[in-house]
Order: sequence, then structure tokens, then C-alpha cells
Amino acid sequence: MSFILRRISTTKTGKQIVRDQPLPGASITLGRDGGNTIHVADLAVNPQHATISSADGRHVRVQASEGLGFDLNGRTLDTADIDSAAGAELRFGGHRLTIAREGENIILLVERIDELSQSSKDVDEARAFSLAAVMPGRRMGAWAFALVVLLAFLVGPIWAWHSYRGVDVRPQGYHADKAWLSGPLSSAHASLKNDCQACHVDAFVAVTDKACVGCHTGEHKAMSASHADASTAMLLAARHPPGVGEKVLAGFAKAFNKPQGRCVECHTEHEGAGPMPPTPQKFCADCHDGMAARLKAAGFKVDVADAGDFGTAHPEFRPLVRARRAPNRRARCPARGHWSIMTA
Amino acid sequence: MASLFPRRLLGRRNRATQTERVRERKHEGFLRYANFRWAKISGGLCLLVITSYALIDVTPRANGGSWYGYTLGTIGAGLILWLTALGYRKRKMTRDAWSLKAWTSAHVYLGLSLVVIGTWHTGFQLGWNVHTLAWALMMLVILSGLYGVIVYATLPAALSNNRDEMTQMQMLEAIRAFDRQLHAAAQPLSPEDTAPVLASLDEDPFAGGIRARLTGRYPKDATAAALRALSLAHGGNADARQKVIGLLSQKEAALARLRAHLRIRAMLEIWLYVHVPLTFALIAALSAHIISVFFYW
Ligand code: HEM
Repeated sequence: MSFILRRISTTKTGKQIVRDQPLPGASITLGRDGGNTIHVADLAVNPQHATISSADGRHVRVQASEGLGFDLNGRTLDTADIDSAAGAELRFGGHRLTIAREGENIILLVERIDELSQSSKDVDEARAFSLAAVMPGRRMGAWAFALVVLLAFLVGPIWAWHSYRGVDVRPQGYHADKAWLSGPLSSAHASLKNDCQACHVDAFVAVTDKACVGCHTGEHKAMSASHADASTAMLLAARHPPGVGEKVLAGFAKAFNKPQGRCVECHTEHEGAGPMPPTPQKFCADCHDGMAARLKAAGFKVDVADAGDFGTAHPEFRPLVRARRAPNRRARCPARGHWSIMTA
Repeated sequence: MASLFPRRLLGRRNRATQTERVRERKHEGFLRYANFRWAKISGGLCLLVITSYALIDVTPRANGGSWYGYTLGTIGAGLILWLTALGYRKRKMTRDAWSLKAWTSAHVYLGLSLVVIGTWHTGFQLGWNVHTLAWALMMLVILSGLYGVIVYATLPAALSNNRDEMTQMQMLEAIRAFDRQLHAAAQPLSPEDTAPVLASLDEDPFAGGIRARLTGRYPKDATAAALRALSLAHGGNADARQKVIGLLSQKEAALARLRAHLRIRAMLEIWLYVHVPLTFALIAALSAHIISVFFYW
């Protein structure tokens, strides 16, 4: 028997050339040093790395000499006994030593299997030089962000609304639809800030007067019989002719199911903490300036004089005697519902 | 293909190096496109919004729910969707009147006009809610876009200086050549001396995360460590060691050039990792904003 060292080289055209070289003796050495029987030019191999011997011409003993062992079947070993008929693959640094048997001979095949260095590995130029190589994909990020936002700010709030449908008072705690709050509630309504549904009862249905009078039972009536008793049609007819902008807004309102003439149109909410903004004087004049003619045109009975401004264009106060409140004689602005005590 | 965008150019593997040069000449094209046509249109739009806002007295208080607010909001949302379409547009380029350059020019300037349209739409009422979230995301997208335009205008010169007529593949090739020489020159070294050289060979020149890419700092660099170790070593084959030290410092210089290149490219690309994902977050927030307004009408 003898050991045969087999080397396989590949030509430029891809052809493989096999060269066999008989090795003398029953014991041979392997290492990076030029003096070894098998010289492996690999920095990861020690100068004197291992001895390979066979006592019976069939079984091979591999013995590592200098600390660094070799790998066999995924384990790092210092010594291994191998039946050459069964064969084995050993790893020294970046090289592979294959032991096999052909006829009476033990074949030792040595090949480099690792690249000489990391840098010599093939790279995908477009990717390797780009930031994409070290970043998670933008597409992933895009979907992840979008999903989180949709869950937190769309699904969550709708879920909160859905879970408390028909519930009179919501429990304390965070409700996801708070994220929809478009501005702080007025101080009078501050206690409702956790309970959007107190006013926004049905989805896609604009806040109705029903929600207001649910709590504000009767106030309006006491303050201004004319507004509370007036039909919505009359209130709408009283308004000044719309400008371009208001026509646009009315178009929106109509298209998106937002009825006109509701309480909240004058009593605006979400305008900031503090008292609810007074409906500005201009709002009164919006209707009361030239209102009589418009109401008449719309076929309503008119008993209110025009008022363009509370200070400068307001009709005289007229005494109003109320039978049931006989002791008090009050003068009343019939338009605004303001009472002022007359010292008659 | 007189195109303008580094990212597009860098994206194609086989054209990457050839087109790197084009990028450096053409980077300004879209800003001056058609004698600043889109800059003028966008500036005019902003002026219109600002003056009309001042002239129109929305009662009781300016906000997105007034007719004026709806108008700005509709224009703004439309613009955002249109700007997003650029991403798709880019992938199927044509040479017609709407060239990529025109498209990008419009994108940049109309995108900037959203600062005015979006902010004036809010009526300057901001708070901790989904409405302000949409506004904030929009501003972040715009700011990142602004950063992108600035780096496109300034960094290509730095990229070209660092490259010094080499392509990026040639930079890598230089490192490979030093590795081969190191491997041969280190054969006579003792096991203690080969270990640091081996570590240098085993180091991936592209290793390092986003931090390393952006700062250009590689504190655990194995080649620098090998240089230090071998300079301190005694005994063994001193001549061979001296040769290896020389090669290591040459490799270190080649690595430094490659890493500077990677750093500039990272700064040219990083903003897109904000711009694109936040655009989608913005569209999600915008949808939630619009739906919420109608839901709690
Ligand atoms: C809210 C406003 C904006 C949105 C929604 C938006 C959205 C987008 C999207 C989706 C892309 C495609 C990116 C890709 O797929 O690679 C893009 C690209 C781009 N954006 Fe914006 N953008 C906005 C504002 C801006 C602004 C204000 C600027 C500049 C000042 C800008 C500059 C750019 C540039 C230069 C690109 C092209 C990047 C490239 O192809 O290399 N964007 N934008």
C-alpha cells in the first residue's frame, strides 16, 4: 500500500486536471511549512499541523500536533481513526482533506474550499455598496409604519366607538377615539372629553340637536322663545344670502350629509378650553340684518324688526308684559332673548 | 439617457460605475428645470394661500373645517397623493414632455409648497391628535426631501474626490489584491503572528452596520488591529513580518477609501429611509384624519 496525494486543478476553460503523486512511507506530515510532505499554503493551517499514518494499509490515523485540531463531521478533534474504505472528509483551515480508498491505495485529496479572504468573495455590486445592504427594506418599513398608524388612529377609535354604542356613560380610562379630538372642549363640556359619543352618537351622522337637548332641557326655551320655537325652515330662511365661500361649504355639507340649522352651527365646540366662544355679534346680524324681508319672502309671519348691529342699528326695546310674571316688568330684546329689567 | 438621479443610477449593477460619472455632472438639472418653472408656480401658490388667508375672515376661528380649510385640505391631500405617485412614475420612465426631470422638479417644488398649504389648512391649531400627527408626518417627509435635495447637490463632489478616478469595484479589487499578497507574504510567519493577519483576511470589507456606514468609524477593524499587533511582535521571521506590516498599512489605506465611499453613499441614501416609509405613514394618518372628520361629523 501507499498514500497517494491527489491534486485537482481547474484550467481557465473550466477543464479539471487530476494529478496523482505517490507519497513515500507509512507516515506523512501536513502543514504550512514547506518541509511537510503535504504542503498546504493556508494561513489558517499551522506550520506543522498534523501527522497521517496507517499501520495496516487500510485504517488511517490522523493526529494533530500543534494545538489547532481539524474538523471531522462538524466536530473539532485532535485525533481520528478512519477506515479509508468508508472514506472521510477532514477540514484544515480553509482546505478540505478527503480520504478514500482506490484499490490498494489510500487517496488523499487536498482542495481549497474557502475563499482566500472575505474580500475575494463575489459581491452584488448594486447591493453591497448601497445602504440597502445594512438597512431593512424601505417597503417593509413603509407597510409597518402605515399599519401601526392605521391600527392606532383608525381601527382603535372606531373600535372604541363601537364598544360603547348605546352606553350612557363611558367608564374612566383611555379611549382610543380621544386621538380624534380636534381641539379642547369648552369648560362647560370639559367633563365629556373622554366620551366623544355623548355628542357624536352615530357614525357619519352630524351632531344632532337631540344630543344637545338631552342635557340642555329647556334652557333655550326660557331664553328665547323665538329661536327655540322657530322651525328649522324659518331659521334657515332668516339667514343672510350666502357668499361664495358659504355656497361652497353648503355644497360640502349637502354632499356629506351635514344638515343646516343645528344648534352646533352657532354654538361651536372644540374651539379651545375655557368658556365656549360667545356666538359673535356678527352672527346675530348674519340673520337679523334685512331678515324681515327674507322671512316675508319665504312666507313667514314677521313680528321682529331688523337689527344690523347691537349697538348702532338696533330697534328700540319694547316693553313686554308677561301675565304670569306680573310683579316684574321686563323689557326684552325679542330677537336675542336678552332680558333687561326695566325700572319703570 | 441624460438622467438626473443618483439613486436610479446607482441602482443598476452593470451600469453603476459608468453612470456614477453622469451623476456628478447632472445633479442640478431638476432644480433649474425650465428656468425654475415649478419654483415659480409653487411660490405663486404659497403667496395666494397666505394672502387669501389674511383677507378671508373665517368665523368664529380659522380651522380646517371652514370652507377655506376644506379647500386647502382637498388641495393638500391631492398633492400628497400625486407626489407619492412619483415613486411609481420613476419605475417607468418615458421621454415625453413629462420627463423624469420635469416630474422631479414639480415634485420638489410642489412638495415644498405643502408646508404652506398644510400648515395654513390647520389654521395653526395643533394638538396631540391624529390631525396633528398627519401634519407632523407631512413636515418630516418634506424635511427629509429637503435634506435629499441638499445632499444631491453637495455630496457628489465629495464622492468624486474620494474616488480619484477609481470605480467602486476597483476599490474593492485593490483590497482583494492586497489580501492575496498578504496571504503569500505571511506564509513564513509564526502561528502567533499569522492569527492577526488571518483576522484581517477574514474581515468583510462591507461589514459594519448603519452606524459604521454613516460615521465611517470602524473601531473593531481587524486590519488596524493586525498592524498594531505585528508592530509590537518580536522574534520569528522579522523580515517577513516587516513585509506583512507594509502590506497591512497599504490595505488599511485602501479600506479607508472604500469606507469613505460607503459613508458618502450612505448619506446620499439615508433620507430615502425616512422619506418613503413616512410617506406611507402619512397617507395612513391622512386617511384616518379624513375618515375621523366624517365619522364624528
Ligand atoms: C408630503 C410631501 C411629499 C411626499 C408625499 C413625497 C413622496 C415621495 C415618494 C413616494 C418618493 C418616491 C421615492 C422612491 O420610491 O424611491 C419621493 C421621491 C423624492 N422626493 Fe419626495 N415627497 C414629498 C415631498 C418632497 C419634498 C418637499 C422634496 C424636496 C425638497 C422631495 C424630494 C424628493 C426627491 C428628490 C425624490 C427622488 C428620490 C430619488 O429618486 O432619488 N420630496 N417622494
